Amino acid sequence: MNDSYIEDKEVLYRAILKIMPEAIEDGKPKASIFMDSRGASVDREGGRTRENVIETLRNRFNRNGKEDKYRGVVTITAKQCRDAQTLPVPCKTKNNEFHAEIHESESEKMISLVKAMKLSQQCKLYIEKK
Amino acid sequence: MANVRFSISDSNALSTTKRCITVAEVVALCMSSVSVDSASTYNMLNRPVLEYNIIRQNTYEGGEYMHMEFDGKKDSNKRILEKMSSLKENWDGYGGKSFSKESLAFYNSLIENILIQPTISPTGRGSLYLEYNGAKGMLGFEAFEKKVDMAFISNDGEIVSKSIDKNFYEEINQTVEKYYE
Repeated sequence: MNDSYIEDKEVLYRAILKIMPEAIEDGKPKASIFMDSRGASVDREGGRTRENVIETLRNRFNRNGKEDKYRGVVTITAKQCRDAQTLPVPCKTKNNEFHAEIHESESEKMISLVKAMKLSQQCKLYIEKK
Repeated sequence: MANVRFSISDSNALSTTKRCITVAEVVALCMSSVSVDSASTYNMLNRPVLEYNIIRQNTYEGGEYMHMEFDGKKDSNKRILEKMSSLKENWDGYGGKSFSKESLAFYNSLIENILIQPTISPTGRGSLYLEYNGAKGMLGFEAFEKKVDMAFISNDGEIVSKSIDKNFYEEINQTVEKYYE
């Protein structure tokens, strides 16, 4: 995994929690999923399998089985982010080496409405089986 | 129109949009015992809503037939706003902001005044996302406390976007009406 650049083919993951079922309508994720004031936090695939990444996210948001918050994930490739004129940025932290963010541009973190809508049109949804 | 206290239905006028009144208005009309026929009610309440949003209720009470319709989508959107008021910081697991009373009051007024109801969802930055998905493409609005952004992405990728900082209801209603033309 390249710590300074996210290759086009790399997949990024963002979790959806059960608290807001309105984030998904008719099986389609809403643009609101990507609307965050500091850019959209995501997890890089980083050479892991999709199942592995999802398991990690499920454990993180369910606090290793202590809670039941996790609902599913949306995935988007770095290329799809760039096609939507957004910028996928690696932001490794002490606790999460796979952490990354999707920014509006090099100078602005907050993703604009139109770009969030574009991302929602491109991303894939994986909902937890009940 | 014997035995009909009031009616707001017009079965001969089914189209993409249809006039509708809210439950509160129905109650108000009942309370004041106003007798109106369907045609005058239809003209008096100039509120088109999407046909699929309309909830109909027929009742027969005291020898009188009543037909009521209200905008179910608006009702459901108001319930989402109510739920948003209880969301705490970090509700989305990514540091999502909670919603101030002021912003919720503004979002409520938008939902109250938008003629064709959108699907809505809260965002992690304290705003409200409103979406219409129709044959022409995707139309979205993002409401903040004092402004509303609009973006339209057509099916062939054409983009129109603007910021609205006054006359919110009129601007949104006009844009949505044009979208469904």
